[in-house]
Amino acid sequence: MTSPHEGPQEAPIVPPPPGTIADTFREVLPDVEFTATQGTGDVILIIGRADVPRVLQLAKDDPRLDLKYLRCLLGIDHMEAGIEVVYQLYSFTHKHGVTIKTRLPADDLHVASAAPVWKGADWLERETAEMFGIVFDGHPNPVPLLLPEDMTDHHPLRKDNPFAQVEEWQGSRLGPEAAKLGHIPAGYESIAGESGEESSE
Amino acid sequence: MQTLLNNYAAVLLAVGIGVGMVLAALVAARILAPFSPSSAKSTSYECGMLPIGRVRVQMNVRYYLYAILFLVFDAEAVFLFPWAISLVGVGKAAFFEMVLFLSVLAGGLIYAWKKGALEWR
Amino acid sequence: MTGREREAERLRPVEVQRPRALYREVLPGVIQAPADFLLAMARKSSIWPMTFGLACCAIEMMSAYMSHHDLDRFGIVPWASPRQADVMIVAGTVTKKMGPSVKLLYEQMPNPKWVLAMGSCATNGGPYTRYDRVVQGVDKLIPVDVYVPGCPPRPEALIEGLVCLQEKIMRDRGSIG
Repeated sequence: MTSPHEGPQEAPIVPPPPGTIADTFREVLPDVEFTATQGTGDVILIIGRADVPRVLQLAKDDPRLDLKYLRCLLGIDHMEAGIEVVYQLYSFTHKHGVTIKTRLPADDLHVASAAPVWKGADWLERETAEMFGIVFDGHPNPVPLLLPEDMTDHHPLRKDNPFAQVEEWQGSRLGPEAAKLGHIPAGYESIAGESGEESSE
Repeated sequence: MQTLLNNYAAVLLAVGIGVGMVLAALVAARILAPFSPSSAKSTSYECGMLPIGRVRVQMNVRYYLYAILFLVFDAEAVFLFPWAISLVGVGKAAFFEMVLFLSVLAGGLIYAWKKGALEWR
Repeated sequence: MTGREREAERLRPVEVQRPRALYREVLPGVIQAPADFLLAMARKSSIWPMTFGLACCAIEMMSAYMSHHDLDRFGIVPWASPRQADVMIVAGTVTKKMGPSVKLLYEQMPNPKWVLAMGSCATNGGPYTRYDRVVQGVDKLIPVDVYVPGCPPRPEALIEGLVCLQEKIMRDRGSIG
């Protein structure tokens, strides 16, 4: 595994073996561009963001796929390379699951909402929107879910958030251990400095 | 007349002791407990949030209907019993007065009936 | 103001009041000492906590109230409203979204009041240490009198914390107010 201070890495594309759900997807939607890769558990399909509403609707409705259960909806921050929105789907009838990913460019974080397809996506998308700053077009109730209602400008799960503010409030210092991480946010170098007498561990 | 008033002296004493106990409790609380009102302390309690919505919500009419039914059946019975016992010796006017009383309460009964207070829901 | 600045405004610590009861000015000193003693004895023998169970420590607090580790034998009766409560047992994680509610409920309690921070989340953030969205200990918002460590503390530990609070009430009887 790569260590965290080498910077964000992209996962390698490993083509899945034949006979998996990727082939069923290609049958159902022959005109959509897929990149299929084998993840640790599921097959991961990477699609373009314009295809998202069609693919999700057909994934739920088509009887060969029958992916009626949206397990999870989350985001992954790749900083300059954009933010990925991940949909994890499962079918109880066919006992197969798939992960669908779509990459949003960092300056235009809009994607179609999955709430019309699955009711459960309503809250999952509210959480992903407030944590990353993604706007889900067509969402029925786009207010923050877990954060305070008036905090629409702070997105905690983005990688460039300074977590070290907590240390300042507590009055403690990170110490030289933090220097090895390689990811001290700008302006906080002072607390990662060589204060050797006190380590926060 | 004097004995009638003397009987009520005991009632006055009871009322005085009751009022005195309440006042003593309030005075003792003011003296013995720390008194520190603040603006946050006097906000209405709404589980830690600031109150949403108005306090004076409109009272539901069904409570008023129960009060009317109580008047019609219970208070009326209280007046009917002594009237029934003493009717013979009092005279004709008492009969018509009671008819008037009953008709007023019958009006209340009709109102409650129309509002559905007599339905078993 | 940004959202984070507004939130930091909302999370300022409360102003601590130190009120004095009227009898300290009115009664002569020689009567104050037994009055203090009696009042402290009464207050410590019937602590009514405002149960503020926020997370897992709430389960241990409930278990302390129930019949196996009975708290009623100490006179400790759970009281959900802040208006008649003496002590506020902060049992669980205080998130930054919950912070203003904790402050308002503390201010709505009448004096004399105490706070017992139960568990490590209320003491100093606990397992969520250095995490941005959790207040690192409830003593950043309200003044705490007793800290009960543990994650979660056993009901016996909470009982010991409440007995410590009783001893504190008795010890500080001259300055309660």
